[in-house]
Amino acid sequence: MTIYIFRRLLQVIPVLFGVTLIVFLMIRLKGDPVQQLVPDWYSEAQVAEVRAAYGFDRPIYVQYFEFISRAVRGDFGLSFHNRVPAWELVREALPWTARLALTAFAIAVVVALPLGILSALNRNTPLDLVVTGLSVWGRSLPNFWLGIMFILLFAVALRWFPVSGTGTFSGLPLWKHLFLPALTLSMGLVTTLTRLIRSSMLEVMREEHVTTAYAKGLRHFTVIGRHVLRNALIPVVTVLGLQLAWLLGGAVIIEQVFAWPGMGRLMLQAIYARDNSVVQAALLVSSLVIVFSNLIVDLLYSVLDPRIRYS
Amino acid sequence: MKILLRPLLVAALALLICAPALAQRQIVVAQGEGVENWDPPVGWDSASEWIEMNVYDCLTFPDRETGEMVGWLAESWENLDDTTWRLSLRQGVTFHNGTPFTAEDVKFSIDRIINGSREQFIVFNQWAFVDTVTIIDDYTIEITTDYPDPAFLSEISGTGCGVVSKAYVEEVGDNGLANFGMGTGPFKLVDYDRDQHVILEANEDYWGGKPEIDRLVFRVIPEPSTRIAELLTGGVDIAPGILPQDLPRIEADPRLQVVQYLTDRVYGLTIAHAPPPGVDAVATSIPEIREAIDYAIDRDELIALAGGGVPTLTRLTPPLPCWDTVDPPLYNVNPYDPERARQILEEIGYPDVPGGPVITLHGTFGQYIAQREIAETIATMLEDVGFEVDLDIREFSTFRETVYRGSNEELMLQSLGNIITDPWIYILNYDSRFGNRIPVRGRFSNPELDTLAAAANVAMDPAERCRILNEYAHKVVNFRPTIELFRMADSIAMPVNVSWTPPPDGNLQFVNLTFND
Repeated sequence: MTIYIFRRLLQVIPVLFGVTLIVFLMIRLKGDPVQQLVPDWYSEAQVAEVRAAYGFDRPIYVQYFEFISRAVRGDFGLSFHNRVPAWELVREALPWTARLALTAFAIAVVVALPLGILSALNRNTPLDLVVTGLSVWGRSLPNFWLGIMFILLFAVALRWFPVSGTGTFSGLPLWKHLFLPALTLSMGLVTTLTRLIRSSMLEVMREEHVTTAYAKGLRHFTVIGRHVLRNALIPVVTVLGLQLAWLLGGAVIIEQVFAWPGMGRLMLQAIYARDNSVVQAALLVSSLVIVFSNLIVDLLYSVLDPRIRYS
Repeated sequence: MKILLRPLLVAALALLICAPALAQRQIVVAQGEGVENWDPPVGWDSASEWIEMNVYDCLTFPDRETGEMVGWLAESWENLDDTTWRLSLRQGVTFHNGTPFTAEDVKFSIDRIINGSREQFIVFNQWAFVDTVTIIDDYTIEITTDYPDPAFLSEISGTGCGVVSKAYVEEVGDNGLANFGMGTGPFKLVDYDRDQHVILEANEDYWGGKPEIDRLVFRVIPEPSTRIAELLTGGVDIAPGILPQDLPRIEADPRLQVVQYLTDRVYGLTIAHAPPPGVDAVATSIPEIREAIDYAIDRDELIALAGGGVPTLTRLTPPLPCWDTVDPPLYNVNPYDPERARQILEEIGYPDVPGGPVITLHGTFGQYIAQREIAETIATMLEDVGFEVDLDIREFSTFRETVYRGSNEELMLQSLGNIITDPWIYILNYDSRFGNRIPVRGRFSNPELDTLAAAANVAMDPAERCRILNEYAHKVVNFRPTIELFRMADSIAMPVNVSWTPPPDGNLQFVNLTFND
């Protein structure tokens, strides 16, 4: 197990290297960063001055090396727009996105698990058809539209929840502000997980060890709980890890709709304002979150399925 | 016992009756963006500038009705010679932390801009007109300019004009000021969360009198539809930038009113007089083609599309000085005449003209009201008189880095505003010696316009300046470096129990908001 963890940690190094390179190059691919910084009436000489001031006139590998050496110290430079360290903005935004993503994650698991199990156990019944139908329908809805619809229904018409914000000003408890954006963000994950749990359960239920368990005279619920569900959850755990990236991507739009001051909104604002240092810092931190959450999932996977760590 | 209770009961009753009057008057305003920076010359994003102007005061202030500059922290002024201005400062004014406002603070505020750099202060170039600031006494300063500057009083009320406290900045440093603003304005900053809210409280000691609002809150809500939902549920009281499609929902709410007002922005077409590199010719190099385009556009129809506005041929619009001396008038004019446009095209033999027959119209979307729809409608209008149009709509960042940087062909739709209440920016826009604004995208050089612009920029006699500007405005209209379309309107939603007139530059200053009940 220790060797497996060590090997897996070693694999993260080239991934991180690749991530930093992609983040660094993506900013340059957007176009000349200097042209994006200066106002349109700047002369060529003034543009050259700014280029030198920001170090963009040096060879690209020198710039990359400096980017890496500063990034490991948490120094991403000053936000061009806010005039505060880019890292500070990311540090302020990260907990808000974490709250949103984790709540969405919890909602998704709590809703999808019973739905998926019920659907599998009642295969081809009206209940199964309704759950599967709703999953397909839910998956095809764009989440910004869903967010606006939830606002209109739960906040404007029913007045159960506040429209937007985090409660720093309204005086309402955080969960009231958190519920609608988290529900919106979770919808895609709920539908994916429901279908996955259903198909995974059905696959395991067809396996010989399940038939053996029934033949041994075990009760239906014991077979489902101990022999089917446990094995059916192995692929679900993998998908959960991968879905975190999807959640972070979805948060960009959700945070904008619900005025939630997280990483997604920060990144969107930085892209609009051409605030490269913030875009770099936010992209890199988001990528690191995904890389490490995948690492954790892989390690968890090896706990659930011993074949992995012995292979 | 009864005798004892009676006064108590009377007191309790009196308190109950007075309670509504004693309640705090709060206004919550929805904003698309938050304040990025509280240092006045650093932030040029509109949210920072608009919200900041409730906390800071400038030396002068434009009267939005007349366009005249009125005294603010400077009570009066005299022009000692063409380049020297002596300003008498208001006495008895204090900063929010209680320290007195003096000439030292004014000198400090201006000096830190002009001794800084463009990287440090985004408004650095805009303040380059100031040569020196000299303190005469505690409440008198002298400012000299590099050249005679008729726009001086407007320029000192321009972006970055908020006077900061020398002692406060020296104490907290530039970063401290960036994170927490402190000025002499009608409201003082109480709480600030960059991406969520700004909470201000009325400055009880404000020299202009305490504002009627006790607590003024700005909430950051980027999504327009969310702002409307907040407005309808009472989460916010005021929301600017209401889109035409949202008007019916707001007007149906008896608690709300929508006020439409004219902004200082003008929609116009920038015309290429010569081709960009790599292109052989543009049809708009022919004056008659430019004239036909002008006649082909029905400005009133575009205004209907945008939900309001005034047709104009010039950017010399009210309340800018000299707008009303333009003769014959160029404001509130719609020269739409499709027949005349068709006739001109026939006379010059279009489509067999150099650069013809295709007229490219560049545009973008998402920045201003109905931007894409206006470009599409103009294309249809041009096709209606016989032009062949290639409509090129690009996403904003691509538009900015390609078309806006000078790869534009015949026509480009854009919206331009004024940063000060003076025709200064309008004049400079067509001056081919000034940087690379419209002349570079238009690729023209017009010595006649340059001479008039140079004269208007230093004409200290207001009447003489208006005479030059009259000639200049008509020459611009005939030469057509741009074809102006209409002055834009904007709508703001607010409660029915308040009276407030939004200023045309969009500044959200609430010192003069009053409650009707």
